[in-house]
Amino acid sequence: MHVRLKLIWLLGLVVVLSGCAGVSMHNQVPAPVGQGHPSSSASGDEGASQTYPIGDPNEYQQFDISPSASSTGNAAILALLDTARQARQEGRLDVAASTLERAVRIEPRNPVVWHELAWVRFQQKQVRLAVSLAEKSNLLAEQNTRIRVSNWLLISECEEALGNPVGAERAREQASNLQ
Amino acid sequence: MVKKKVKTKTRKRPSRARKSIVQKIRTYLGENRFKLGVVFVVSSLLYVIYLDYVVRSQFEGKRWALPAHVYANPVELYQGLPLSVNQFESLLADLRFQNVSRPSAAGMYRRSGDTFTVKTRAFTFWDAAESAQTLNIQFSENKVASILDLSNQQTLPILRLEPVRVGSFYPSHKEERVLVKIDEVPQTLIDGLIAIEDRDFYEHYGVSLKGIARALLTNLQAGKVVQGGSTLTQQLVKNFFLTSERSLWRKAKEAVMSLILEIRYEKDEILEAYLNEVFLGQDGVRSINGFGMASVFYFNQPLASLKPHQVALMVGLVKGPSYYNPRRNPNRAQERRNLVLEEMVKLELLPEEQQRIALSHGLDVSPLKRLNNSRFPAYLDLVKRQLARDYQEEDLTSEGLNIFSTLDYSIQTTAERLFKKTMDALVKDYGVKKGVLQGAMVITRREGGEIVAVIGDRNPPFNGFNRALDAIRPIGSLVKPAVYLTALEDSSNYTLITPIEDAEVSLMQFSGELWEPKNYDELVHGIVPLHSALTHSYNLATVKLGMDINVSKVKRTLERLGVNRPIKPYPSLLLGSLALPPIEVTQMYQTFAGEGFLTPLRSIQSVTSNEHERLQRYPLTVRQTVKPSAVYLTNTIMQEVMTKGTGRSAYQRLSPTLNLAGKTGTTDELRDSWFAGFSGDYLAVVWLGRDDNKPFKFTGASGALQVWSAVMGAIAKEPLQLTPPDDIEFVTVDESGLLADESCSNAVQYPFIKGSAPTEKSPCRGGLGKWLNRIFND
Repeated sequence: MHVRLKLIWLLGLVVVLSGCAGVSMHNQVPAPVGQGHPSSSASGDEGASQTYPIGDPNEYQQFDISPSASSTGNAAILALLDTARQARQEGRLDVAASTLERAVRIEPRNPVVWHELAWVRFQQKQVRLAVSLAEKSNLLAEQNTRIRVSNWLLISECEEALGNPVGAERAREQASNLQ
Repeated sequence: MVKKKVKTKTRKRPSRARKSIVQKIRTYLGENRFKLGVVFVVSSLLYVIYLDYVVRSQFEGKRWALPAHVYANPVELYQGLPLSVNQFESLLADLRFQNVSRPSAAGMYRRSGDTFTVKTRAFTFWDAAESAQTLNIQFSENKVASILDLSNQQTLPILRLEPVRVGSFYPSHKEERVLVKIDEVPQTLIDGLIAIEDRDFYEHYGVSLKGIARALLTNLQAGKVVQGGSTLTQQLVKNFFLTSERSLWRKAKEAVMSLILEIRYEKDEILEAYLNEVFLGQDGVRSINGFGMASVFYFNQPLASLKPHQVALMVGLVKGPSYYNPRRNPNRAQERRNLVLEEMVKLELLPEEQQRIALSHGLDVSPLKRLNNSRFPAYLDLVKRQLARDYQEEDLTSEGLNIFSTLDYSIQTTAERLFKKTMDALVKDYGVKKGVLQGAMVITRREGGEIVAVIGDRNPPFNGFNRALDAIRPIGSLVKPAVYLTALEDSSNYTLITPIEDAEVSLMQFSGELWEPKNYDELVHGIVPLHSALTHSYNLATVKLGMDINVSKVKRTLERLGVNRPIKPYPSLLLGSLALPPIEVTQMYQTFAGEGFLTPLRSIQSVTSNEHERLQRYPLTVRQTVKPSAVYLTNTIMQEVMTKGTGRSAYQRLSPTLNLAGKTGTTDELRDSWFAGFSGDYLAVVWLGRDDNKPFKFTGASGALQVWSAVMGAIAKEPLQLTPPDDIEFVTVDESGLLADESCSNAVQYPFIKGSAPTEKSPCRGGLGKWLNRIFND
C-alpha cells in the first residue's frame, strides 16, 4: 500500500513536470526586440515627432506643386518624387518619407523635396516638424513664388492644427502677399 | 611477530565486514526487486522527460543567436552622377562582384571600356525590396551616362545598389549564418546531402542500424572513410544540444534525443534545422554555419542560384570543412566533390549528363575577402551607442538585426587614408615626437545631419579610445562664431561693420585672480569692424563684444546651436573654455551649415528584423532655432575667414570656387588644434592634440586645417551657396561705414538685416565717380 502511494505520488510529479515543460517551452520564444522611440538626436528634438490631431489627412488637398513643377532637371529626383507621391496616395506614408529622404541626399537644396516631406509629416500628424520642413523649404525656395505660397498655406494648416488661429491667419497673409 | 599479527588482523576484519555488507545488499535487492525496478523506470522516464523538455525548448525557441549586421548607406546611381569608371569598379569590388567574361549569375559583371554589364543581387531595404536586375551602365566624362535595364531595354532613372556591409555585432561565440527555409534550398543539395550523409533519412526514427552497417561496409570497400554512420538527426542533436565529448553515455543521450526529435517533429523541420546548423568553415574568428552562409562565403552567391558542381562541393565539406577547405586544399576538395557527384549518379539523383558538366567545372570558389568586423571601429562605436538607447545588448548581438547606417563607404575610406597621410606628414615636417600626436574627425552631410564618416584615432582602423566621441577638449576659437551670431541677432545694435574695440582686457575672476587674455599675435588692433574681428580671430575684440552683449546670451545661443552639455557663463567661455568632443562641435556647426536649422545628427537610418520587418526609423528632422538672417551674416564672415583670415591656407590645396566657410580653433599653449568648416555638400570637424593634454606645435591653422583641407579636397564637390533670407538686403558702404554708391571708390557691398544698414550718406555719393560714369555711359 505504501509503495503504491509512492508510485501515485511519483506519477503525479511526472505529470506536473511534463506540464511545466510544455509551458516553459512557449516561454522560450524570444520577446520582440525593444520598440524604442525613434529619437536619434544628439541634442534632442522631442517636439518634432509629437503628433497633433489634424482630422482626416486625406481631406487635405495639396496645393499645386506637381513633381514636374520642381525646378530640377534631374530624372532621378523626378522619379523619387513620383514614387513618394504614389506611396502617399496609397497611404504608405513611411515609404513616402524615406523616398523623399533619398531625394534630399541627392538634391539637398531642392525646395520641392523639402516641401513634399513637410506634407508627408503633416499627414502623419507631426505638425511641428511639418512647419519646420516648410520653413526650410521656404528658405531654399528663394524666388520660387509657387513653392513659397504652398509652404505658407501648409504652415497655416499646421498652425490651425496647433490651435493657433492668429499664426494661421498670418501664414495665409504671407501666402496672399506673394500671389 | 606483533607486526605479523596485526597484519593478519587487518586482512581478516574487512573481509568479514565486506561479506556481511554484500550479503545485506543481496538480501535487500532480493526483497525490494519490484520497488527498485519502479525507481529505475521512473528515473529513466523522468530523465527522458527532461531530455524532451531540452529538445523542445531549444528547438521551438530561439535556435540561433544571429549577429546584427551594419550596412553603409547604399550608393544610388543616376544619370549625371559624378562617378569615374574606376570608382565604380572599386565599388563593385567592395560589394564583392566578380569580373567575368560572361556574367551568368547575380553578383557578376563585365567591363568593356566605359560600359559595364552588371547582374545585381536582390536586396531588401527597410522601405522596399530591390530585385535582381541585369543592367547596362555607361559612363562618360567621369559621370554616369545611362542605366539600361536589359530585360526590357528601358532606361532606369535611378538605381539603388545593395549596400556594403561594414560591420557586425556578434554574440560571444562568433557564428555567422544566413538562415534559409527548406523550400529555398536547391533539391540537388538535399539529394546530395542525403546520399552522402544519411541515405535512410526519410525512413529511420533518428538512429539507423542499417545506415551504420552500410557505412561500415562502404568504408571497408573503399579502404577509407567515405560515409558516416550517424544519421542527419544524430549529427544535428550532437551539434545542437551536446558537446563533442566521445563517450558511450553521450552516444546514448544522442540516440534518445534523436528519437525524441523524430517523434516530435516532421522530417523537413529537422532537415531545415540541420541545413542551418551544420559547421562548414572558418573565417578568422567567425565560424561559418549553415549552407546559406557557406554559399556566400565560398561562392558569394545566394544558395538558390548555385549550380550542381558548387552544391556537391558544399555537401563534401560536411565531413571536414577544414580538411576539405577548397581555398587551402583545392585538390582534396575537388576529389571529394567528384566523389559526391559520383554517389549522386549511382543513386540516380543526378543525370549523368549533369555530372559530366559538373566535372568539367573547376571549384569556382570566389576569392576570400575577409570581413574585418572592426574596419570602421569609431563609426561602429557611434552606431552601437545610438542603438543602446533603444535596444538591449543581447538583442543587438542575437536577433539578426539589419542596421542601415548613414556611413558613406567611399568617404570614410578616403577620409581615413588622407587623415593618416596628412598627420604623418605633419609629424615629419614639424619634427613632432612619433606616437604622441592624436586626432579625430567627423564628417556629415551639410543638409540632413547624416554622419558619413568618423575617425577616432591617428591610426583609423585601431579600435581603442574613440576621440571623436570621447575626447572632451576646450574648443578655443571655435566658439567665436556663436559670440558674433549672438550679436548679429540683435540687428538694431550690431551689423557686420559695427566698430568693435580690440583693446587690453583685464577681468577679475570669481577666484580673485585677474584674467588678462591676449591676442594670438600679442598685438592690440584698436577699432576694427565686427567682421574683421572674427575673420582674424581677435581675442580681445571678441571678449569686449561678448561682455557687451552678455555672456549668458552667448550661452543660450550655444544651446540653441545644439550644445547639450552644461555651460558655465564665465567670460572665459568667450574664448572657448567650453570643452566638447568633436562630435558635439559638429552638431553645433551643423546649425551654421543648415542656415539656422538645427538638424540632429544621425548615424542610423533604419533597423529591420532578420525577417526584414521594419523595427525602427530614425528620420530626418529639423527645427529652426536661430534666426536664419543672423546665421547668414555669420556664415559670410566664416567665408571671409577662408579667403582673408586664419583659414586662408586651405585654398593652397582647394579650389577657391568652393566658397568654403570655416573657423580655426587653438587653445592655450597650443594644446588643441581644431578646425570646423563646410562646403556646399559636407561639414567636417577635425581635432588634433595629445592624450596627455600637453602642448604641442600646432595652431588650428597649421594642424587641423591641413588635415581638413586634404580630406575636403577629395570629397567636396559642391560650392557653398548661402541663401539670403527674405530679411537680408545688400547695401554698399564706404570705408567709414557710411551709405555709399557705385561712384565711391573702395566701397563694398555688405549684407544687412533689413532696417539695420547705415542711413547716413557718404560724401562720396554722386561725386566724381558718378560724373565720370555719366560721361562714359553717354
